[in-house]
Amino acid sequence: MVPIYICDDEIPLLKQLEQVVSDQVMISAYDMGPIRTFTTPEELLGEIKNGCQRGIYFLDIDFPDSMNGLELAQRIRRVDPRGFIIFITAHDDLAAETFRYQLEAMDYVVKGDHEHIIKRIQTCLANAESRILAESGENTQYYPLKILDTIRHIPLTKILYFEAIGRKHLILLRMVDESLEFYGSLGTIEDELGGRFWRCHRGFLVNREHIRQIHLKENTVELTNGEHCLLSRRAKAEVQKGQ
Amino acid sequence: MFYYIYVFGTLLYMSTCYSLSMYVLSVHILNERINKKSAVLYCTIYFVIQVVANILLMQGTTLDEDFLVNWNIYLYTLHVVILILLLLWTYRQKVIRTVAAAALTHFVVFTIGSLAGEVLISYMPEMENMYLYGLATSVLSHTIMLVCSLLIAVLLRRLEFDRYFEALFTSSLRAVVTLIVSLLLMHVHTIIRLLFPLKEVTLLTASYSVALIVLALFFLQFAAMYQAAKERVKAQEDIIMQQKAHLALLEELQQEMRSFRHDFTNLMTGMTIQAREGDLKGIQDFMRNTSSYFDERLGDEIKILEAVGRIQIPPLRSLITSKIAQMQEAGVQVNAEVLYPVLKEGMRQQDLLRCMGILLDNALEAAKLSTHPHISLVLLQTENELLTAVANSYAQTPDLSAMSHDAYTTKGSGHGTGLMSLRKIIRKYPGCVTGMNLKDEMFRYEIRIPL
Repeated sequence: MVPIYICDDEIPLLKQLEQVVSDQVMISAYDMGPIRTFTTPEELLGEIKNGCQRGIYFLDIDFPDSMNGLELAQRIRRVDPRGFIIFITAHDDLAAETFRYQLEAMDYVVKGDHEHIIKRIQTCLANAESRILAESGENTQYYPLKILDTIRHIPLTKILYFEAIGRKHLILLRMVDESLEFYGSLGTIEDELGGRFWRCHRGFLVNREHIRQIHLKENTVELTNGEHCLLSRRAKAEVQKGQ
Repeated sequence: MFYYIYVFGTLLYMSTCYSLSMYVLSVHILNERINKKSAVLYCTIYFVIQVVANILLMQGTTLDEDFLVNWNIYLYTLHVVILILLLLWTYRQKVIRTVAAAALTHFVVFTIGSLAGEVLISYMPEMENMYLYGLATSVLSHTIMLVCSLLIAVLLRRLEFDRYFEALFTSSLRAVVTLIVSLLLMHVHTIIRLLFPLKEVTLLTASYSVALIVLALFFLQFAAMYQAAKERVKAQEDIIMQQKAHLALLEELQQEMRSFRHDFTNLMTGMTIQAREGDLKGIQDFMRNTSSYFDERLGDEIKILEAVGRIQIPPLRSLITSKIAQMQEAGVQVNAEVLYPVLKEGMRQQDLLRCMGILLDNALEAAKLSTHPHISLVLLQTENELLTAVANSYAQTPDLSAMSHDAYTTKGSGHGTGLMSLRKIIRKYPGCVTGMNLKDEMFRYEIRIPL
């Protein structure tokens, strides 16, 4: 069971949301619940302080005389890094884009007429359900990455390779639709991630599941997205011995 | 034995004084922080070269004037070249600037040193003890040199000399002239000696050269100040331009408000009729329409103004306002979000401004070509970082794998223009990282700056 938390300071809206969510969970027979409602961020945080089970959170963006939605979401992330956070906003007037940079795995429900809310909640819950199902099957692993104030959990399957660029331990993390820089050392990352990644060169750590082909003549490793990484002599010997 | 220790010790002290003066002064001219490691490295290299040079000199038998002059030119040039290389390696500033700074530094340090030396030799009473005499003249003169150089360095920092210095490199012609002048100044003593071959150097000639130097310094300072004043006027004009853009945004908003009020009165009249007739469905429809209408007409403008208002670094605010105005003029839908006040840059202000300028220009270039031009700007200052991110719609999917690597350049085509210079700036600041991604038909580029 995946618990659902709803937090909004307007009690009529809170009641309405609870009704809609519980209806949808029942109709679609999702493995979700119980539904808990809160009127202040503090109550919600107090509730989840101890348990770190993955949950679904519907949060208001703006709480008068308390923290805002971003802060609340960041605190939730600390306890429940893989939870689904869905914001309920008056219009798309608040910092939607900002939230995108600071958090991950989330969605929006725009306050408005009843049917619209129902439809949005339906999609959000369906998304969460399909993600939970997909990830429970393959036992997804994550690489926790802290860049300054932001912590991200990156599914290992999404990672193409790590590359040491420039001096001073700057590392480039390449994914299919994303590139990130951070400071670290390839050796440490290699130890942390274990056998799913291969150090094909002093400066490259590639994801084995993304290797399409190894070009022994050109000394490169071709990845599933067509990119090439360098192949060192030692790694080449490893490959040839394996064959 | 004592003799060797004496010679070695004096040489060590003298060369340390000299190299330290050179290093500190040049670093101050370049307006950088002193890097202990490279300072020590420079002093060591300097000392080793001095030792080797002196040993060579002692072995050589020909000690005529011409040979010594040439020898000095080579030696000093070698030191300056090493200093230049070291500065370039440590601070990565422009080559021409670094060369000029090192040359000027040498000029100043050498002049002070030689004047101090001449004065001491002329006025030092005769001494029986040769060692004491040598110590008094050479060590004392080098100490004076070090103290003076440090004082000048502090003075330059106080006077914000780097601003004037920067002004000397604004155009390529000026940069070349500055470079030549500073190189000439560096060798001014040798040149004087070649032009007026005197048998012995007296205090008088040393005073002449100092007078020349002081004059040159004054001239340099005044020229630079004049230039800097001109630059300041231009900068102020820029700010006025940007303020105008801000004002235009406000005026536009006012216009919208006026016409909105007009519309609103009409709409209210309609609703009053509906209310009288008890048409609840109609009223609900009306309310929904009005709120979205309000959002469309005014929401964006107000949101942008509010966001821009939270940027409390005036030059940054001006830059962003004018860029947003430029985007709106080009028909791009703009979204700006600044959740918390932005108070700190985390890097040099000019560098942050250049980064933002490049990001916003790139976004505009790419967005213009897309079918639904849209740009979204985020500035977020949290406890330990300043996040600046720009997202834009695009016509052609950018090649992330190529753009992620430093060697990437595409002259002419949308993305990547200026990306190299952006990276160069970012790399100067340890802890500063970039990231980019493609999501929902938008290309996002983010810079995270540690505070």
